[in-house]
Amino acid sequence: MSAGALVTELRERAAAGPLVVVGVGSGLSARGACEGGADLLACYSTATHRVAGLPSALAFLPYGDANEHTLHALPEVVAASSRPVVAGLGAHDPRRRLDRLVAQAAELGAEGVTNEPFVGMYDGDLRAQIEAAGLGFEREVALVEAAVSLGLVALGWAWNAGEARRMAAAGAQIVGAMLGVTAGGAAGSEPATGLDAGIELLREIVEAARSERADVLCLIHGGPLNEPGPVAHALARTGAEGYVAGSTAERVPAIRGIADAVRAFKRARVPMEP
Amino acid sequence: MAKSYTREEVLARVRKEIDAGRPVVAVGAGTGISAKFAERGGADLVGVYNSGKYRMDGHGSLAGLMPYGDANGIVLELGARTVAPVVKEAPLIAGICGSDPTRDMDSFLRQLRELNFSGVMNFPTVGLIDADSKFRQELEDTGMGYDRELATLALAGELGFFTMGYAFRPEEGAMVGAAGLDVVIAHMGLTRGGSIGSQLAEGSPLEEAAARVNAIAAAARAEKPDIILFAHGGAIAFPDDTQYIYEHTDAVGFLGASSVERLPVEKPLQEATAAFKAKRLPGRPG
Repeated sequence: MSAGALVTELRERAAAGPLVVVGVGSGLSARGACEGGADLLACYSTATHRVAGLPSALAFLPYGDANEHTLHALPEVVAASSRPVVAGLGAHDPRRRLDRLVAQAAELGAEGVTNEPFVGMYDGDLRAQIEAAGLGFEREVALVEAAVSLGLVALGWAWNAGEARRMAAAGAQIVGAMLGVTAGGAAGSEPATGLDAGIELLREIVEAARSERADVLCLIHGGPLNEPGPVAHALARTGAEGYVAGSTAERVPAIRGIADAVRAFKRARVPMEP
Repeated sequence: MAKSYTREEVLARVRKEIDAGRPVVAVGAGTGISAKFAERGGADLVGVYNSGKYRMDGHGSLAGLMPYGDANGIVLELGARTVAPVVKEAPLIAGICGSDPTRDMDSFLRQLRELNFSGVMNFPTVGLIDADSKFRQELEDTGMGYDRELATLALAGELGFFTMGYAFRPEEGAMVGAAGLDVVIAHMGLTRGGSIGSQLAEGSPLEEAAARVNAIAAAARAEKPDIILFAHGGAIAFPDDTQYIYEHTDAVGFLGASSVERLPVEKPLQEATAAFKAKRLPGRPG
C-alpha cells in the first residue's frame, strides 16, 4: 500500500471510531493485535524488551543496539500481521545513515517508520549533551523526512507543542503526542503526570500539530492512559484520532492471560478413584 | 598478557605510588595502542569499557550511555581481544554496567576474573543521568538505578576485585563510601575539549570542580575514612588541571580517558596526513 493510500484508509477508519495502533515486539503479539482489530502496528525496541519480560526502559540504556532489536523482530511481526507495520528506529545512533536505515526497514516489510526510541526520554544535562553532540531531536526530524522522501508513512512522536510542529512540518502524516512511560503493572512505573495535566499537554501537542498541517492524524500515548476509560476520556478532550497501546495491549494482557491459564490448569483436580 | 592481581595487591601498588608522592594515573583504553603506550607512559591502572571503544571509533564518549550496543558484552570482547594481550604489568579495571538486568552479575564477574581483570568500576553509569530527571527517577524506581551498580561493585569486592566507584554528587559519594569500595572517583561530567568533547563543560572553572571534588570526598569519608580519592572529567582535562586539583583537594589520582587517548591523537593524526598532502607533484600547473 502506498503511503497516501494508507493514510487515506486510516482517515476513513478514524471516521468510524478511534484508531488503535498497537506496539508489538513479537509475531504472537502482532497476531493478537490484528485479531482484536488494530488499525496499524508498530514494531520497536521497547516492545522487544517488554515481550522478553524486561523493563521497556532498557531500550534507552546501553544494553543492546536498539535498531538491531527492531530489525530482528520486524520480519516475524510483518509475517504475523494482517495490517501494515511501522518500524521504530533510533535516529540518535551516529553509526547509522538514516536513509539507509529507513530503506532497510522497508525491505523487511515496514510500510512506515516512527522515531522510537526517542531522545524525549532523556532530560536535563544528559539531554543537553545529546543535543550538543548533534544526535538529538533534529535527527528524529531527519528520520521522518527520510521516510517521507522514500514514500513511506511516518509516525512522528512529539513530547511538546514545539516538537509537534517540527514533526508535522517535516511531513509526518501521523503525529503521536507522548506523555512518557505508561503507568502500572509489573515492570511499569508510577505515573509522572496526572490525568488532567496529561490531557492538557496532549491537547496542546495535538493543536500544535494541526496548526502546522490541518490534515495530520493525531494519536495519544503514555503516562496515565493505561485503561480504556481514561483513553476514551482523553480522546474526547484532545480531539486526537486514536490511541497507541503499548504495555496496555501487550505486556499487561499477556501476563494476565498466561497467569490465568496456568491457574486454571492448576485448579484441575485428578478425580478420586471410587 | 595482563596479570591478575588480588584486591590487596592492587591496593599495595596504588599506595606505593601515593607514598612516593606520585599521583595514581588510571587510563581508559579503547584500543590496544592506547593501552600499550599508556602503560609505557606509566599508567598505574588500565580501564576497559565501552566508551573507550566508541571514542576511538570517532564518536562521543556519551555513546557508551546510549542504546547502541551491549556495554558488558563490549568490555568482555575489548578486554579479551584488544587490551589484555598488550598490557604487561598494570592491573586491568573493567568498566561494567552493574544495573544490567539481563546478566547474572555473579557469573559475569567470574568471567571478568578469568580474563585477568583485577578491578571493576561503574561505567557506564546512570550517575551521568541528572538525579532529578524523570528518566533517572524511573530507573531508580524500577531496579536499574545507581544503588544496583554499587551493589554489584560491593559484590565484586567480596569476590576479591579492587573496586572504584564514580560519584557525581555528595549523596552518591556517601553511597560509594557505605558500599566499602576502595576508591571514590569524583566525576565532573563529560571531559571538555577536542573535536567531539563536551561543549557544555567548557568554561566550568577548576575552582568549582575542586569544591565539588571536596564535597564528594567529605561525604565518602564520613562513611569510609580511608577511602582513596580520584577525580575525573569536566574541566579537569589536561595535566596542569590535575596539578591544580591535587593542590586544592585530597585527590591523589586521576582517571584520564579522553584526556590521554583521544585529545593527544586528534591533532597529530590530522597533521600527519596534511603534511603528506602538502607535498606537490612536479611539472604540473597550480
